[in-house]
Amino acid sequence: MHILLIEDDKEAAEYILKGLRESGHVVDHAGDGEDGLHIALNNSFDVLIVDRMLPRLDGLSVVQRLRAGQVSTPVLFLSALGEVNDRIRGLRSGGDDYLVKPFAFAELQARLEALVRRGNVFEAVETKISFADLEMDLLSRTVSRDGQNIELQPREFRLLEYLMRNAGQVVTRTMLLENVWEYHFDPRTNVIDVHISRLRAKIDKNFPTSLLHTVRGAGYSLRVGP
Amino acid sequence: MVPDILSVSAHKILATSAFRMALLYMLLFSASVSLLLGYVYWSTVGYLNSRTDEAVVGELEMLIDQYRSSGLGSLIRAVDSERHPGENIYLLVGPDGMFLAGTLDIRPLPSHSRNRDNWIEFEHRRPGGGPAEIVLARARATSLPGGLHLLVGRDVRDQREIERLITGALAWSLGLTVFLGLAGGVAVGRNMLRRIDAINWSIRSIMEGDLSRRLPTHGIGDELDRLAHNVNNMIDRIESLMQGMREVSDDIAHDLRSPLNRMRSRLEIGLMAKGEGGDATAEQRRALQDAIGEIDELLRLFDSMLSIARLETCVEEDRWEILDLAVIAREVGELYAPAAEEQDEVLAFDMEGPLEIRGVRELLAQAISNLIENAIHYGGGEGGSAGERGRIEVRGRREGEDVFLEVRDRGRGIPAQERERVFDRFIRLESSRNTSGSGLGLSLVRAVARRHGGDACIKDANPGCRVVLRFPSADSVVVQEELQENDSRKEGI
Repeated sequence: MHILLIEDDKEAAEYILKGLRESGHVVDHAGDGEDGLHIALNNSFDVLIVDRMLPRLDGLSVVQRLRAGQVSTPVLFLSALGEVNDRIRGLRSGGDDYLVKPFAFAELQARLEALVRRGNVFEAVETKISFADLEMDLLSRTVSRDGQNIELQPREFRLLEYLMRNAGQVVTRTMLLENVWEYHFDPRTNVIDVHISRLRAKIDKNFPTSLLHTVRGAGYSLRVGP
Repeated sequence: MVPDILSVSAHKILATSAFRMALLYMLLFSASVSLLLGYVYWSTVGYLNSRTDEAVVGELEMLIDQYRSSGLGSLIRAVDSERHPGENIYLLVGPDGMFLAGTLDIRPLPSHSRNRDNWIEFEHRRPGGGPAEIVLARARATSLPGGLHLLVGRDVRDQREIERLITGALAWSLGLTVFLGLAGGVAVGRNMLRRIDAINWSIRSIMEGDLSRRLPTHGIGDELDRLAHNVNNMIDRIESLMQGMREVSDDIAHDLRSPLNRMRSRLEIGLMAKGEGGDATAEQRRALQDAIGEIDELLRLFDSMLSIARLETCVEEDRWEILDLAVIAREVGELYAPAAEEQDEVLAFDMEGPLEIRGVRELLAQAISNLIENAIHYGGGEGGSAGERGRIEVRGRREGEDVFLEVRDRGRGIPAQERERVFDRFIRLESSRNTSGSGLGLSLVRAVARRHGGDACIKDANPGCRVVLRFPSADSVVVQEELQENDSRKEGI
């Protein structure tokens, strides 16, 4: 992936750059809003990481100007502000996702991949999605694996749908909480784990291969193989 | 409905201090009007009466003198030749009760109406006068030597008429004073009430967090305007202080979180390190991960503090919407149900219809999730019968203008004297000292409830405890009006 990071905090930038480069991405870095805007307008990136608080031009304005300039590259906002309204404002100004500092590196990486993938998926009206031998009918809201029907609760259905749409990638607990339940707070209990293990019992238990894997220290992933 | 509203507002008007002051003023004024009229009455009627009495007494004395000096014949002549037969009344009666002379003839003299000064008042028909002309007479009788009785009197109808007019005028003016006083009091009270209500209404919405609102002024510079003006200045200051505080807390968030953030990043980079000098040992990795965990805990605590502080001071309202608390509670419950079951607990819901309130979904969901988490952690089945053990009840109901949501557990409960204290920040009960938790969960719950114009409190459930949240319902009048105002404000933008 070709990524642009607009972040004024040197330490934070170094951390993100190092992490992303170790994961094999190509990352450019701008230290303030105006530089960032300039670079983003004149180059092509897969995804932008923009800090909310930037010298010279703040993050919201950078993204607003990019959108005004017909640049539709997905944007992930980074911010020390975690309030609901800040998040809404960030997304309203043209951001695609919002991550509050501090974050685990795995969280950033999972979100970036989800963003890039979302950008690449052809936005057709899908009625069926499938992964491996797992099939989901979005109209009749039924799920089957290897031809066997699987009964799911409505929320389990949404959970599986999100996992299938992000199949092959890591999804974090926070991403699930935000996208499946639409909550942005941080439950102290391992609520998501319990939901996942119930879903796993339904889709994996009676089949020779497991699809729903736990990624240690990061989250979950729907994939074939270990 | 309408008379109901009228009677309520009438009751409100009567309870205003303006009305009460008007009432007091009216009483004082009536008292002085009574005094004044009393004096007028006394000085006119009293004067007329005393003049009549003096004239009667003078005449009587003159006739007595006549009798003493010139004898009975002269007296009879004097009586008969009296000048004003119309106004004056005379009667001379002999020792045997025989009529001797006079303008009227009533015998025996009406002794029952004698008063202590020998004054008598009586009505009689004037002989030979108009058809049935009734005369009201005030007279004085005296006994003369020789067994004679002499009565001299005056017709006092005119005086009585004047008396009646004056008392009538007195009663009317008193009545008018009272009526005008009351009407004025109601008018002033209502006017006052309207303005005070407007001020109260603004203050209430300011207290609910809308610091952009100001008290209405009428531009007439009266005391209420000056009061409103001063309060507005005060709110200006509060607003700028709040703004300052928000900036400070944002700065703290930024400033204190940044170093922690950096520390966390370095530790994560440490974990990522590969190659040069070899990978970290398993033990080192665990130490790094533990440190990251501790930092996350610290940051989470800090975030909670900031969230509560913001809820208590923040004025942003742009995301308020009408929400069904029952739906939010069920959704949160559904998120926690499997986790509760893992702990051998059951979440039971009992919602009475839609519970519409005005608020922010995220905040309400977080508050409810805090309560359910608490119930799962601390409410672990200790008491109750086997069927109830581990049962966590989430109940919603509507009562009048309020919506109530309560989460009940069957745990150890909270001692009565601690029930208020647990809402304070960082308060954790001895019994839960060694479990994890920040002591901020309930503070946040209360801050959320208060932010929505309600409150939170803890009640006994025996066993266990009930945390009760109260919110004003969405259709309670004030909220509705505010919402409309908000909407029009948004449209304005």
